[in-house]
Amino acid sequence: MIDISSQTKRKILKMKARVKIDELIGDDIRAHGVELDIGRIIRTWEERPGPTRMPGIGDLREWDHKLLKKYPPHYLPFCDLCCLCTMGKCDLSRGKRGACGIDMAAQQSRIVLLSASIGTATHTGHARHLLEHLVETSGRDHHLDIGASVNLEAPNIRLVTGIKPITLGDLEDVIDYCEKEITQLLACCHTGQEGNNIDFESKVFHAGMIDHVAMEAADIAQISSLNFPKGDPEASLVDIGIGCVNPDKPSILVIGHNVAPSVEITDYMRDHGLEDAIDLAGICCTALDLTRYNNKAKIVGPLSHQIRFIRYGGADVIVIDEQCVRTDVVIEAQKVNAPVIATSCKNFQGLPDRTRDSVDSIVGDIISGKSLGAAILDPVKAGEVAVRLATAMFPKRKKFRAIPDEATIAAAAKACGGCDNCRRVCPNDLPLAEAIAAAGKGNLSLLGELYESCIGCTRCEGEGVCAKGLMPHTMILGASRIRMGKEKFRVRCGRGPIQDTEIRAVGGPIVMGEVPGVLGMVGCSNNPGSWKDVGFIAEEFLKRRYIVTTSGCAAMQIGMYTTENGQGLYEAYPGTFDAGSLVNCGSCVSNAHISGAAIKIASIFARRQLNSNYEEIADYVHNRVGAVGIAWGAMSQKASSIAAGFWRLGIPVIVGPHGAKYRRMLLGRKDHDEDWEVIDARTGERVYAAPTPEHLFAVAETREEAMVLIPKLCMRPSDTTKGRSIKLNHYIDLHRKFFGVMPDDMHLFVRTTADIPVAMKEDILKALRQTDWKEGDGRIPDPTLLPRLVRKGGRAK
Amino acid sequence: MTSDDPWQRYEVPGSTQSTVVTKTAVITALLKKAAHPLIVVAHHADIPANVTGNPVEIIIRIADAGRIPVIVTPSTAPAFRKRGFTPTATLSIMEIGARLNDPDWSIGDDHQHPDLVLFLGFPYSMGWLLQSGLKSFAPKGIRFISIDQRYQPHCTLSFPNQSRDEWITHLNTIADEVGYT
Repeated sequence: MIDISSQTKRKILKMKARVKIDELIGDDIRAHGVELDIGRIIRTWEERPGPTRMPGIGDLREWDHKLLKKYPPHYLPFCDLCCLCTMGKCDLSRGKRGACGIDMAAQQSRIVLLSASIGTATHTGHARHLLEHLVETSGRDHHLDIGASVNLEAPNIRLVTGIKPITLGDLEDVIDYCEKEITQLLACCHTGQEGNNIDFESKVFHAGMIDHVAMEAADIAQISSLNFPKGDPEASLVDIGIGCVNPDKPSILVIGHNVAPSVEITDYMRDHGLEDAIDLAGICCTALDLTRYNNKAKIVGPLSHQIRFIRYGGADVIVIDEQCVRTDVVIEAQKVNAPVIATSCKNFQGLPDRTRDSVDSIVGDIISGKSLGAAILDPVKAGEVAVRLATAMFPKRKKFRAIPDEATIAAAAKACGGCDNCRRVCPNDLPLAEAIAAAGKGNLSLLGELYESCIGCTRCEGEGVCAKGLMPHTMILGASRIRMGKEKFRVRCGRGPIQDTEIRAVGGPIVMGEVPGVLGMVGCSNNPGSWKDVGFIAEEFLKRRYIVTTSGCAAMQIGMYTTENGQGLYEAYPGTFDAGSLVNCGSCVSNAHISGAAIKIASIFARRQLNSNYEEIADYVHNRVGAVGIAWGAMSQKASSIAAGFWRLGIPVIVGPHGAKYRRMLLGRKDHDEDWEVIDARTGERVYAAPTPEHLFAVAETREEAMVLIPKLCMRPSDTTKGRSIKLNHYIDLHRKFFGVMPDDMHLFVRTTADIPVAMKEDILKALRQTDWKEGDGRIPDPTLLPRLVRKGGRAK
Repeated sequence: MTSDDPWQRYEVPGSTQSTVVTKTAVITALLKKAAHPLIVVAHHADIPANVTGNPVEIIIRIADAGRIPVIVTPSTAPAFRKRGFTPTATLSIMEIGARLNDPDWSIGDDHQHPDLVLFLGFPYSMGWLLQSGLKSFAPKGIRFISIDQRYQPHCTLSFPNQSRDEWITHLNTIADEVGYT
């Protein structure tokens, strides 16, 4: 008999184990020298596991195909060719197949899968490195504490993996699973693997689901270990904007996504009493996560602010980690004599690895000019080097800038020949030549007007673009110098997860449709126009009492917008997960809390089984939770994998015009009635439920088009009459506001006269009479796409 | 700049690209010959033009003269309605693409798929992405023609890169020619 004490059980549960038994005697067995290797022990929890624990790439195929039948892919190839293997290039246009047999549809889906896999791998790689560091600093047994009001700490992880993580060490198993799946997904992109576009798309969804698991692991690890706000609706308001960084102090700029080095910089500054002596500021998600740790730190802005802040000369030392860091950061830093410290092996930037060298020798070499910077993979050492360098470089650099003054711009601009080459390489087709011509005549205002719409890519300054050697981006910055110095806003730092109590309070109104929708405003700063459009959209829906959640660069851009009376949106609206609230969850990896909130509604409010039960939960979310994602400035592969995670849950995503370059939309056909049938789980009958939601992935041509699409995509088959009436009210009102008339597809969403918003009743009835609209029987289905969920007595037909 | 360079320099189309059409008579002839022509207009059409005319007004002239249905994007529709013209349908750019790819889709009740489609007013990248999709996925035999100011590489035919004045002149000429029987 083997007797394991409860203390030993606890230990075994925390690690891989080897058990050696000298003598084993049972009723039917007698053995000597038995050795048991236990690769992994899975914690059990109160809920029984569902059908898909740690699903593989094919396990949710049936669910994916259901969604893809409703929302077939619509492809937008970048070009006619496939260039992925040495049998090519192959022309796939107009029905041709490549040398491997692939067609254009499958190739486009393969590219989407590559993009989503890269995004998922990036979040997972980030999670792995962060977790390794946190395990080292806090220990594998560190208890995960996401907040007293957050009992369901990891909805994505529990749903997908069946693991209820208790310690940091448990998250290692989660990341192991993610890494395995990413390997399989990438393998599918190899020549001669998958050949069917719909099966590729299913794998895209799989990548997205894994992405949300990895993001959740990363964020709950850092929330717990670094004591970030734990679902706190009143998390601190922090400074954002180039003008927040004090030019009279030494400053450190951190760029990237992995907060570990920034934490060590903060700790070193605290330990040495330098918190008020040095400004610590960041760009991109590292900045957001830094402010969750240190609310005195500042956010410079989204990733589009990288070059403009570096050239502005605001940083005495630049510390980079991973993701979305300009790949020419060392070259740019040289222009302002700022050293660069690379802290991630994913992003050495050609700098020498000085991890094993002494701090004194690294700092000495850089200050003497012997070295442009260093790669230091030990975050503690990197923290000390950064602080000492900032102090030493400040008097040497004197905030040296690479931005010309107005007179220099005006003189240079006279050389412009008006060839428009700069405009022709600008992703936003900005009228650069016109603005430069005006500057040549002494009017710099047109250049200044481009500041908000410029994404900071500097393609206009590329080799050979301007025959006269003009630098349009630099000229925009020069014309905006004074404005940059005054750029100051406030943003609420990331609160992390949504509390269970908040879900209990609003779950019902969301599912009934009485809270008109949950908006997830996420993504990058690749906007088609001004960054203020992001805040403009947010404000409109806050006024309409939608729940607006946000994260990453979108959260920053919302902060960099002010209302008519000059108030910031984070100051004007509360941070609770409730109607009319603005909820900044945090950085990119905090996106998992937005999908997590939808999952929590199914689990906490509707009491659906969560453990390893993806299909049922996704079915619930798709048919009942009026949520929509909007990534107005989506740029990255990570944005595509984040979106894919929402798609698999059946949550629609809208992107801005540049999002069309993801090369595939998932569009419903509202004119195909047969696509919009759901099963009524009470009776098993198939019933028409209208195009709710109409699309799963759509691009909007304009800000206004996106704003009309949002309330439409928040409609769900389960809406009560009151809920549908509220949602229709917003849809019709916004359509009238921006397009001047009522929408021509309104009749599809009015089920009975009870759905009609009272204030518009007469107008709507008049419009309905001009269509073939017929009043329905008023029965609201208990909607599902899964025949197995039809209740006893009912039978799927 | 040559006339068949994509306006966005890095939009390299691949094995085939649109034939440049500089003679408006070619477009007019194809419009007249088409059994089921269609005009699709996006919101850049309504950017205020110079004194020689607004593209939306010219499209209305073309549509009226040739009795050609017009589908517009939601953001474009107000520009037509304020000029007293009701578009045949309002669909987003990508919805238009999805329907043009569907051989069973038709504009009216005649169950006939368009056989010639004119595009105008497209944000440049959205235009080439949409048209690139149509190149590979639309039913065979449809002519896609870009009559935007900038050369679009993925159609059957496209206007060249041209100045705004030249563009407006060309559009007006089409309107005049379509109306002349």
